[in-house]
Amino acid sequence: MRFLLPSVLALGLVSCSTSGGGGSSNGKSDHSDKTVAIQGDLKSYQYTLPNGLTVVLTPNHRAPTTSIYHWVKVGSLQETPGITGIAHLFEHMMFRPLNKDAPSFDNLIRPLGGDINANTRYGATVYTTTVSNGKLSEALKIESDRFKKLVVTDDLLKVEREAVRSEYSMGIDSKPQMDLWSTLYSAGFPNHPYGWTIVGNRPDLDQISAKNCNEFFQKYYKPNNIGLFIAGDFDVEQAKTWILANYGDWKKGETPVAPPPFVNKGMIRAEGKLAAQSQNILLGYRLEPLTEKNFTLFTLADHVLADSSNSLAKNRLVYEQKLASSVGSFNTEYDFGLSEFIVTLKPGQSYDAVIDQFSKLSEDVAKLSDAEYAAYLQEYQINLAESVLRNGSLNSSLALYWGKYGSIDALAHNLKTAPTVSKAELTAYVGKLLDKNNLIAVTNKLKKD
Amino acid sequence: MRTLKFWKFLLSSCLVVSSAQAVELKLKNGTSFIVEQDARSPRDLVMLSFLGGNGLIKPEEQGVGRILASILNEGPAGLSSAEYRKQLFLLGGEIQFSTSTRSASVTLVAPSDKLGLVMALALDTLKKPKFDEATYQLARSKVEAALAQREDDMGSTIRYFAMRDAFNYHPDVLDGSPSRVSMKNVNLKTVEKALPLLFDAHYLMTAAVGPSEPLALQKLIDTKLAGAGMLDKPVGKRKFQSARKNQKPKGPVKVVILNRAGAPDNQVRYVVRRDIPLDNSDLVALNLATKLLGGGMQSSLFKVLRAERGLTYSAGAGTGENLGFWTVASFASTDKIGKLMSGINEVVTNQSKVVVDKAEADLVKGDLLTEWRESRELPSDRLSSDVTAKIFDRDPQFQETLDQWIAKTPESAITAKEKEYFNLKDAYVYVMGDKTKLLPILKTLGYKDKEVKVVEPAGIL
Repeated sequence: MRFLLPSVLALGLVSCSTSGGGGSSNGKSDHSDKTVAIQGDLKSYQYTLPNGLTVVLTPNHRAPTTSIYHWVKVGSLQETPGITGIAHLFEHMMFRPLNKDAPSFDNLIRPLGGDINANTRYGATVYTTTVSNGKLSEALKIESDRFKKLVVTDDLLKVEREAVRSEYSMGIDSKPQMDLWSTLYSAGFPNHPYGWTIVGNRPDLDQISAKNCNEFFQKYYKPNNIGLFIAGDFDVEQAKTWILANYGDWKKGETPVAPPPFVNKGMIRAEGKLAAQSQNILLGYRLEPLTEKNFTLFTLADHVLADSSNSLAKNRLVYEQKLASSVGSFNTEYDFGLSEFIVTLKPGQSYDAVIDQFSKLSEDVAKLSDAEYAAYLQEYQINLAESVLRNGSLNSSLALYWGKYGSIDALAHNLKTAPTVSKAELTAYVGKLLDKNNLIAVTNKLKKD
Repeated sequence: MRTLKFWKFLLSSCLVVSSAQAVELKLKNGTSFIVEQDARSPRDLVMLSFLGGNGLIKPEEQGVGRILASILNEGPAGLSSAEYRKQLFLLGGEIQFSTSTRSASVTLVAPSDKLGLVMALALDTLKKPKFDEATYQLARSKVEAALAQREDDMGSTIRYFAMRDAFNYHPDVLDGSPSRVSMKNVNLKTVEKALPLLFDAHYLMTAAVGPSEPLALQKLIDTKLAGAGMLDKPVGKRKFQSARKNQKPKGPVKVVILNRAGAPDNQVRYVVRRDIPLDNSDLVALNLATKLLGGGMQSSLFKVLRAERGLTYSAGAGTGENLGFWTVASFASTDKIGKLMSGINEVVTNQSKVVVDKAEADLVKGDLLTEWRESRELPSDRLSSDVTAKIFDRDPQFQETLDQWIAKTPESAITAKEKEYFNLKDAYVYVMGDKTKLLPILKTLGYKDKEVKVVEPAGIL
């Protein structure tokens, strides 16, 4: 069973989900011009403007709406102590007026049938807009304006700061699972940007100024750090004209610098602050940074261990050892190869026993028959194919692959063929991954009635 | 099982009647079979819906349906769970048993050439479930773990309690979610008794979508179900009692506090029970009005309470057509909850007096249209819509043609619905947080002592 990382979103409004993500750890993304066959008759056309903006256009004449994604390769990794949470707070400001006399972004986009959202991650901030077909030209004008011209003011920042405080209070302060997650990062990555949550540390939230936000914006929200993904019912050549007209004059900027890689110093155990009704353990295994070469191995391991209908972790912990009532994985921070599993224990069972069983999962991979292993590969591919049937989710996957893994080619490849990873390779990888020395384990206190 | 969860999500969302491409056929005994071909989908999906659902189970025994579904998900007796999972996995298929308010379902996904085998496994399970103590305990532990998670989440807890309390445990709110109290009354015997009640083939509906030819699917399903003896009698029609009526709280209590000692945050929910019109222009006008009130960033609740006053991260409103209610929900820290609650009342009252002009009507219609289009993008979306419409005695054509209804709704109709509905005077009000902090806050809002009731979540039925 797979979980999305706990989101602080409520009631389907603006999402500030703290799911992980970022560029490939070497910072490189594919900026080449090409046509990529995606699925059936769907093709994506990728090119790059002279200012570095990567554009991926996927005309889909069956789509009922047009999806626009801006993947900004900047997130909380670019923060420093004192301004933690600025990437997320700034994301909120992108929905506000361009300046004090202007209408807000949502007021402008709404007449186009606009459905808008965004989320901030460690290595990226993603803005999503869905408009009615035939409204792309107007939407691009409005979008490009906010990406080029936004000016944050103190009075508007003040109100958004309150909203973020509410997000904090409703999420990390109140939900045991959110608390487990934030503890995993703070305990697992001390003195590193991964160590603070996307919403930042509370004292910093109180002191971030409009000046800080505008500096952040001017430094990082630049075309060479952004991928623009459009999927829907539109004409490619027309779209290219509109994109050049609206984004062509945007000047390049600095490339965000990734912080130094985190040096793993062995197993870490920690306990969350909030008590819960049941025993839960959140396991985070850190391995090597993800690149375009190894991410298929990483995601396949995730699939076989936890996401599959025949998940090995579930088989072992729930059915064989009877330690747990459920096992799930989090779709999160891939750019440093963190694989997360959440396990709800049966009453009275031992956290150490769970950790011990996880370290044996590579044996289960090794024991798979050829038929079983082939079934996992096929299931992985079918899951991927089913996940991109919708226009919006197709665009989302294209943006994700480019933003996180560096290229859309891998998505196209994985949609067509099952992964070419041998059982021996996967066994070795899982064995390395689930080594206890890579582990950050966070548990919760049990609530007393 | 992420993929099956994906399909279940699609199938559990809006129900509407036959879409342009879906056809309704019949099986041997008159059982409805709604089917649409989808060449893009890699696998076939079949849904068997047994009308009845958790509404047939007493409130004091809720949890029975969930445990039963969990037991069925372990496969048939005589085949170990491990072997069952392996067989299914090697077939490339998935089977999910589930229960909801008015139905119990079996959802199957499989490659076309394996669908027959996967169906056979599912039907075998229904015939010979694993009603042994070990499987029961495993299933029970899963349901108890889910209950514990719900109890940890204040938003889920207030939603669970508010709906049951406001509707006085009407069958249409009994979705199978248990409480600690109801779980005390659940045992293997009660679960065994629930199987023929919840999975009664006399009240079956079927549906399918996927790459296979519709007639081929019809033939397969007919053959398999007949072989399992499930089509021996002519199909029956389940009668359901609707919950829809205008109803206000009885007695002096105006607000219920669900206590969570030490909570830094508070949830608030207002439920107004109304006999909401179905499947006509009135419903569309109401949905548009509710969107203006609290349906997104552009709504009044959001603009005032979050964007202007910074009281909350989110506030919204919605309607529950099948049950008959509209609702407002939000949350805030303890220092803001009082202002939030009075702010909600203020915004709702103001919205009731707004005269909607054409420009605003056009904007909100555009919002609803985009939502509608996205909700019906895939054939499986439309199938889900059709099936739910039949279960709730709705008109399937209504959802299919909603764009036309939206287009012809005048702004005066939206204004009229605002005036008619937006009043919290008769609302059931629920607040969750630390009672020691909330009691004085509610007093400053004007609530008298006798108007406030405190409930401990552990004691909720």
